[in-house]
Amino acid sequence: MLFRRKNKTNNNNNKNGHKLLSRAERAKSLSDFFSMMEESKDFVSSDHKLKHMTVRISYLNPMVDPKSIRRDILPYLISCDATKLEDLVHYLPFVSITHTKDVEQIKEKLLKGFILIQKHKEDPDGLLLELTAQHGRQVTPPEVEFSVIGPKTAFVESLDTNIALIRKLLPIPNFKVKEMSVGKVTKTKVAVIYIDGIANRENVNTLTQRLKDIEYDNIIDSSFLVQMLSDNKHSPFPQLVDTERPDRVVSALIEGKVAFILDGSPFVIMGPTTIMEFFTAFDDYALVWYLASFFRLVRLGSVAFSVFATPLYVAVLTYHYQLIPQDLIGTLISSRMGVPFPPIIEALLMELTIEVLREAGVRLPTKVGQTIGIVGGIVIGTASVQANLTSNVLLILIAMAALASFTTPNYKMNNTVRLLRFPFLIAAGFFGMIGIAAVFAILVAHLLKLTSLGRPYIEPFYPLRLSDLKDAFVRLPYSQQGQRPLLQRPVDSGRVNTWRANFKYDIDE
Amino acid sequence: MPVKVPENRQVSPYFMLFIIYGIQVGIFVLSYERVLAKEIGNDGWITILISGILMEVILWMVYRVLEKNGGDLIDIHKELFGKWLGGLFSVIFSLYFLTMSLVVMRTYAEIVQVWMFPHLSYFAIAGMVGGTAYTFVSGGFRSIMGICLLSIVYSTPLFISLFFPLPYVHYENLLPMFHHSPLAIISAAHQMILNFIGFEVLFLAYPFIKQPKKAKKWGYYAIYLTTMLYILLFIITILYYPRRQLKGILWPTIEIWKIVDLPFMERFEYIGITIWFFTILPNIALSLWAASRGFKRVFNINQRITAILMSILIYVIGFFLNSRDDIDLLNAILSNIGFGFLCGYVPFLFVLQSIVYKVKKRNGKT
Repeated sequence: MLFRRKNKTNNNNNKNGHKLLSRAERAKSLSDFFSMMEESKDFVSSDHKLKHMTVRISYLNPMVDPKSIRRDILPYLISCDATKLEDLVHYLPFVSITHTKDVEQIKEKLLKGFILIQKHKEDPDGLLLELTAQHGRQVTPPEVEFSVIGPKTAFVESLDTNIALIRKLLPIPNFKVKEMSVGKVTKTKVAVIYIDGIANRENVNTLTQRLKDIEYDNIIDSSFLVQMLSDNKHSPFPQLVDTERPDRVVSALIEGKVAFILDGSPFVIMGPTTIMEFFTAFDDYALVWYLASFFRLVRLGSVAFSVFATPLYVAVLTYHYQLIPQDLIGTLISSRMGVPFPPIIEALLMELTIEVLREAGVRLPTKVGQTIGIVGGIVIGTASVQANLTSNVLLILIAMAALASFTTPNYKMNNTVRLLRFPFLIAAGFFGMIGIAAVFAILVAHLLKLTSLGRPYIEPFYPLRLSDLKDAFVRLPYSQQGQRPLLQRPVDSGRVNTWRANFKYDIDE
Repeated sequence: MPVKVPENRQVSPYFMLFIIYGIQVGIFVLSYERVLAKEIGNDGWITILISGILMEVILWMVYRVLEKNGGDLIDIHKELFGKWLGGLFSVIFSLYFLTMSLVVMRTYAEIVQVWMFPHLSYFAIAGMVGGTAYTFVSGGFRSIMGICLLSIVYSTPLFISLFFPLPYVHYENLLPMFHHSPLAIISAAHQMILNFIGFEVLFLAYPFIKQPKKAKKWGYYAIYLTTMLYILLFIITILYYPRRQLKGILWPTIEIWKIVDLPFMERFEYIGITIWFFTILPNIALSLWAASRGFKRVFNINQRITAILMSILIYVIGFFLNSRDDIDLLNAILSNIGFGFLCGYVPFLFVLQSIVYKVKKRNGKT
């Protein structure tokens, strides 16, 4: 348990290389802290003469907005008649001004972009005002989870903006935000969000507890946290959903899920979840239910295809050629004629090529990425068939499998699907279809054991909950979705008054 | 003090259906038509029906015995026979399940060798099957229940194969009906036992079921379902094959799959045998679980270790049983033990327990 805090190791942490930190923590008095800060060039601390007193203003220059110091602080200070520090509060145009002697608090706030106003440099107390500069980018359309219809907003790196995006859609007092900080060095802000009265307390407590127990120095992105929070840390399957769409978070919260937002990460993490949720897209809810269900089935089918197509090709061509009908065998033979490798080598070569292409496409800038697609797809493909390195049929299968795997809306699940085909491929090379069956059974055994925040991961199927199947393979119409999913064990399980929602007037009424 | 299972390890009442279906439908479904046809011919479906009814009665007895005690078989043994003799019986019971998993694994490995991979060694096949089964056992009872449930889902496509022989059936094969003596029909039930054994796993699994009173009906449904399945399959087979030919076919169900003719695929039996992997998995996993669970309950040892040792044991023993005769003998032995256990020992236990409870009651009153 690398990331979980243990009481025993807690005291030893200072010895283990956090010397810098421990020095800062040792700075018990404000003057110690100032002398440390003055070693940095971006720390500003200067005296200002007012009408009846002098004040000292200290702040970290890049973290605060210099314009507002000039505009919102200095004019008011200079024109005020105050003689005491406490009186300044009434003159400054700020809602919340903290007057504190707490060194810890001053330290923490100063480092986050507050400014400190003191009477003298040596005084133990001061006023804290928030003047944090906003360096973040604007809200943009979603790029990873694209949808044709529906709102075009995605989260950004700022925690406050993200919470605002959610609050705008959830104007109820029950929407709760619990804030804490994680990461020993980065001290990143993280907010657990849920709807009180719908979300199960147990889920909220599990998530909060796990966040509190995290023991790591560097938390930059929410995807770090997901790995530390997951129930099974070695599983290839993501056990918490990440999304960049506020609408998705809101509908999950209303279902009774719990989510957390990390400051600096444009992805919100939600749980508990099931495997099916990684294959749902926003468009599933924007279309009529049978259209949506059809496309969802297409998506699931293509995931199955992308995992099983090449392993089945290898298994059938290596061991079970009797399966192929007479008319098809001619095509297969002529396409494989002259290929010097056994099917497994041929398939592994081509799969790896596709993986290289994909990886190159992701890493390269968008404009070059397209060229890579053309070079890889057309040039390498045609050339390798003409050079008799691979068969046409396999090339078609591999290209289609690669295409099919992109239908997965979630990037993390997409990676899992990419990796999954390799064990199947190798088993198919050794044991044919029985090998595929065995690997599949082991995969099922793994999935059966997986949990997400303590709730079963493949829930609508096992444990079998027929009522939750209404939004699994197919999405039934909204009139059938009157109950919240059982998975999250919501406190309030009814979405609507079912009687009123399903009420139908008789003919001619 | 009857055994208690923590609630998060228990399963819902309807899983009774999946336990019984999962362990009954297995490797012997592929071959029972031959044995039955040899002995009783086209009246075999009556035998299946009678054995189904018999099993319902025995299931009722199993329920009664378990309900009275409130624990599992190890508790019952301890109560009726004392610590030592009861413990011995429990160990024999565990070994019986171990034999069952051995038979299933060995027979499946043989089928794979005969039909799909003539040159693949037993070790590779059995290692794959046994290793997979162990991953489920190590996941605990709930994990095994998961594969019981999913195996039914995965094997449903095989029902399609039953439609393909229909154009070629000869309905006169069923006639003349009832031309065997009732005694012959009943005694052939002995041959059906391999298809029904396994549900005595309830003796250990019963405490794992939530609200067991509610679950009882699911058990009866399960046996009803398997009986109907066997009758349907038997009738289709007997309608397709003449009796004389059927006697010589080792695995009639696989031969039925061969009839399937799809435009994009031939030799459907390859698919069938592959899918059957998921049907025998619950068999092996459940019986391995029961065997190791029995040892855990008697000797109080780590089930994980026992399960590993037991899988290695059957893996190695299976290697020495390499001819068709050995496997036939193994099947016959299991069939006899199973028959003795279900039709002899369970009623005996039932009678003995009711006598003991009556005596206790009388002593308690006076």
